[in-house]
Amino acid sequence: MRTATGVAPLIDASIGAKPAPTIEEVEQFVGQTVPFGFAVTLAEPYYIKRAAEILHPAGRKVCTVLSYPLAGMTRESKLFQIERALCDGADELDVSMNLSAFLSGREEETRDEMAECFALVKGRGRLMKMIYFADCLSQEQQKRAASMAIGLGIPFLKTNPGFGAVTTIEQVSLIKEAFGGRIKVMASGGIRTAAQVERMLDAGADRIATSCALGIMAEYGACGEVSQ
Amino acid sequence: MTRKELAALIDQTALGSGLSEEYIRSFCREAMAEGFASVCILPNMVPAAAQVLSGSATKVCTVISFPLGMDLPETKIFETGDALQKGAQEIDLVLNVGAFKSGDYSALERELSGVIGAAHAAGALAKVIIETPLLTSRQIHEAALLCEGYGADIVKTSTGYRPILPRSTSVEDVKLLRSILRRETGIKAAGGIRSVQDALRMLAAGATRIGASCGVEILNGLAEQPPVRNLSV
Repeated sequence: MRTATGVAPLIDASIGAKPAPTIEEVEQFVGQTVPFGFAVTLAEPYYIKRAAEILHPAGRKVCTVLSYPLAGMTRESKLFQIERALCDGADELDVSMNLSAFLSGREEETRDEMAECFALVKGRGRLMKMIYFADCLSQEQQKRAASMAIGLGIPFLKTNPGFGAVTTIEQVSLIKEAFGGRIKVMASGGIRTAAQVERMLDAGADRIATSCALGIMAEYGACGEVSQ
Repeated sequence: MTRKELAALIDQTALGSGLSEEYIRSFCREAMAEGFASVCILPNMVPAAAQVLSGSATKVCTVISFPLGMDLPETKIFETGDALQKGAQEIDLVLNVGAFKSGDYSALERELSGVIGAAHAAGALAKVIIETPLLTSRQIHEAALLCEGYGADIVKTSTGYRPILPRSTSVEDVKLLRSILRRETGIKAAGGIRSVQDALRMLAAGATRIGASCGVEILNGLAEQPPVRNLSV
């Protein structure tokens, strides 16, 4: 089993279960994530600025989620949402691909939209992950989505949004086996325990998104003194 | 109440992720044939819906910052303008409940006046979702008055987005809203309304619109109901 120090930098920590958190709840959660050295702490668009005020002076990063979790925003609104997130200090942006367009067979449209989003994020030197909804796709479609992202130079895939979607080891290994090191994969959705984290990392996941980061760290035996 | 009368009170809803354009077009054609008040869909399906529903009595309704409502006011206002420009005739805004619970009235003012103002300027109906399953009675009272104060045409109970909600919309939610709001302010009951009995109970409690993804099943259930003559019970 890996160690807390080894695993923390691979975790995107989200507040999770609490819908509509207050500013105090967000401040408390964000503050709690600081000592662990997670890859990023997640904040909804409205709270990016406040999260960044806490995380950046501590040398930590904030990540946000766009057109999330239903992938239903228009191209224009998505670009606006991304622009605002960049202005508010988001270091990483998890952007939903246009799932409806993709499933309707309009892959060129899906790709063009992703290219625009990526140009915006990359132009400001931040990192974008593409959420491709593995849970909703056949294996063939998952590979096509991954291939599309690789073709655009997008560095990172996120398997699923939270809120009920469950990521599987098969989803992770499918991409790793087909594409090797050409793109990174973050396993997201239903990961709650250290044992699940271990299995995902063993399957080749480059990152883990979880709303149970603090609990998982406790399982690894960390006491909040892992910071580097 | 006839099938057509009930249909005219229902926003037939399809808000799942990944629905194809073909599915939505077909959904809209069916909704138009039934005479639903509107079709409620995600923003990126508005152009397709507007095309199918052009000229019909069934309106194009879309949702803003759905389902979490955790966007900046500016993003919600932009999303609203974009939807209106593409043919949306009704706007269901998800209130920033986190900001509300935090007492961030500045953000709430910007989002409510911005979104409702944009909707009204385009001749569109503005509904605001306050998410009653996440609120205490006192919070429901305050949120409802806040939305009405900024000109919301209709206060909507809930997104119905089950992963984040502890319960469905209740008859008590609707009764509470009816006791608080002016008579001219509509109430849309949405979230967990599956049967014609559910729908009729909400209407009896004071709802003026129903949001449901089972609109056709609800209408079909009407045939099995004893005749409903008086809804003012």
